[in-house]
Amino acid sequence: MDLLQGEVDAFMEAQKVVPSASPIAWQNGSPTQVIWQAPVEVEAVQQGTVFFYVNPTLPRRWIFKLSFHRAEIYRLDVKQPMRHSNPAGRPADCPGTILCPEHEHRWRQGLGLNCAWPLENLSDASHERILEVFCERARIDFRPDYSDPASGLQLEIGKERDV
Amino acid sequence: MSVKETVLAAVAEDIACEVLADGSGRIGCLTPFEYPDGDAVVVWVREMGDKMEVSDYGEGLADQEFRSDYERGIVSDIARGAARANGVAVFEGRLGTQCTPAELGENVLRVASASAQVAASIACQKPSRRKESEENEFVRLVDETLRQSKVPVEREHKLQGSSGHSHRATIYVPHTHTILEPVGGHWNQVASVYTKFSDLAGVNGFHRYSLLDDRQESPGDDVRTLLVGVSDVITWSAHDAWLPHIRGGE
Repeated sequence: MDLLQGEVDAFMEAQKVVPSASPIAWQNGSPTQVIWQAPVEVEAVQQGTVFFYVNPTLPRRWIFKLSFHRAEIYRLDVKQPMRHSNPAGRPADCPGTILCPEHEHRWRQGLGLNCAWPLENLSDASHERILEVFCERARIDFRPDYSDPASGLQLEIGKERDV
Repeated sequence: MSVKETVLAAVAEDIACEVLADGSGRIGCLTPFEYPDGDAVVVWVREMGDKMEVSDYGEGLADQEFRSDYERGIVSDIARGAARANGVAVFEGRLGTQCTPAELGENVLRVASASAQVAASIACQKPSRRKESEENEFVRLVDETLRQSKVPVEREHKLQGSSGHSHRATIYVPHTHTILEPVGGHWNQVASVYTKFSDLAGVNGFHRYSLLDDRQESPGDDVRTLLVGVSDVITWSAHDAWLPHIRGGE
């Protein structure tokens, strides 16, 4: 499916909802992948998904991703160390290289998610705070209760670090 | 010599190294390789006795959503292939090696290369074929949504076509004589709906709708073109717009 910038922009601009008041139910995809995903609705019609990823073997390694149908159109990453090279043809406000651990990828027609922008003043932000920032920037009314990704996985994470 | 000094002595000049802040003694190496989104591939090194462990800690597969065991199997095959080609091991999604300090520089590049290849291969993968079970699940979703919207529906309602042949409407709204056929992308299903609606088109009084499942990707234009010849074509993503018509028979 070829996306157009206009439809992606319209979806980003739309007020979106991740429904359900139940807590986030993290799943252990593998020892290095704790994930959760949920539908994203616009006026009660599901048009996308959110997908969250945590790598419990690394400190502050988080991904928060928004997809429009099957295409990923927005992602907030936290990773360290970090270096990202933005491609030729990037938007004017997009720097050449970024080193900021907290950064966002925004979809651009012809470039996909290859353009990244730094997010300042989040170096000490918790996972929950980063989730809030993701929802603010993606215009998502996030209704599930927050749960710490490590909450049900302490034993496995501890075990993994000793491997 | 500290682990960081060992690593710095072994790796190429264009690889930046950083000690992880979690007290584990691991060193993150920013390599020249890149993931498909332009982020640099980082591999981690730690001391294990007289050996060094090099791992991508699963980052090559970081944000993979597995929709099925089938997809998981494909990704595992890709990871194994990339690992084999680069002479590294793959275990539970992680690519890595164990080596001597003297072999460290080469192994950092091998693991980084394998991790980048895995991510690039997956990014190039075409979306998987829609499965029959997804279509059944779509029928359930449509049924439940209509009922929640106070539209009385019947499943598998029996109707007679102009040929005299009996058909079953997947979803039938009796008070408006509306037939709703949810359509995924399987040509078998598309052909079946087409045949059904062709025969029912000759019978007066039915509103015929082909409802396309566009939750992930819309069936192709060829599907629409075929079905619009025998029915109205609507999409699931616009159900707020067409639901009043189904409810009121407009």
